[in-house]
Amino acid sequence: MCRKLRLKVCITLWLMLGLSCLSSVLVAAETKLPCYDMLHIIPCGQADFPRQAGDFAPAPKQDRFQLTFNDQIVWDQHNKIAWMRCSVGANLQNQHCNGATALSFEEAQAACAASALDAGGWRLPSVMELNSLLEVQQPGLKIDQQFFPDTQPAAYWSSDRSLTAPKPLQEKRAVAWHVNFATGAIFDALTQSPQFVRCVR
Amino acid sequence: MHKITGLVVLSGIICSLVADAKREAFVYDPALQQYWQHCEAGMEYTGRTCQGSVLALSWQKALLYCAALSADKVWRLPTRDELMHYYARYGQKRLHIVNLYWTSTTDVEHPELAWYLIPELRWVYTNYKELDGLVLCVANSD
Repeated sequence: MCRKLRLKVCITLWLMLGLSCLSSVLVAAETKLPCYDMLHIIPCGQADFPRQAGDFAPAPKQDRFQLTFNDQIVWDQHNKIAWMRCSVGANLQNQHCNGATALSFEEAQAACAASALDAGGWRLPSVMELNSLLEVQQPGLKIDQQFFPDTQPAAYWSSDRSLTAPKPLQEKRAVAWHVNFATGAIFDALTQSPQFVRCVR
Repeated sequence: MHKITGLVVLSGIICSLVADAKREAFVYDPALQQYWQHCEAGMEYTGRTCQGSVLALSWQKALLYCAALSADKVWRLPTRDELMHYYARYGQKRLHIVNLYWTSTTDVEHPELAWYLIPELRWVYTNYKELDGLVLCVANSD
């Protein structure tokens, strides 16, 4: 009912002011997850497919991110941490990040620690911090691309090492977790393999 | 004398309350403000451990299993984020079986797939909904 009322108000305003109001309704409507059967979208609340994510979609996090430091840093209100807006290796130009480079785990740790952006203090994010950037309900790249432009459709290193890898690899601390922003998947990988990096502090 | 009798009665009540709490089939997580089942579908909580044969269910049966639990709470299959947070908080102490745990979140680009977590491996990905997986249900506190 609320959405209908909002739509009516918007249509009135649209006639008066233009399209922007209607587009905000469409964006707001998209924030709720749909419900599914085994193959298709269905209305939520169906007895055969009850109480799924769409029925309990969390409220969209309003104003979670804020740009700071000449738009190069993203303040995450939800986690109370700051993210580098661009992946390591990339430079921000005209709201685009060009030149991201894939690094080994050790190189990634060193790159974050060595960054002098806004007086430094950067590190690799934990797997849960990185997971919190994922927007798995979003088709395509699963991250807010307004705040994190040109995120690579690939895996990004977390700081968490795997404790379940085969023992010889564990002893060498040779396996760590990564989060893939193309698929939303979280897996482990050999630390020498090149992955992309987004630092946090 | 009355004081001693009162203490004995009080301690008896406290002991029985603690014992009841220990036998509860669910645990309250104050941080997440949610109730979580102690044991996976098919198993029973004895107060110390989970016993019985764990059930592996398809995604749809997992939804139905949680929805059919006791009526005093709205039990459901956790979303991807909820299961991730629960795992991050309690790790393999609470999700201790090496297998796929279903979430209620469907893959938006491939609706035939739903998200799962394998705690032992800490893998989070999607798989076909027909596949059998483990089920741990959650209920909100309100």
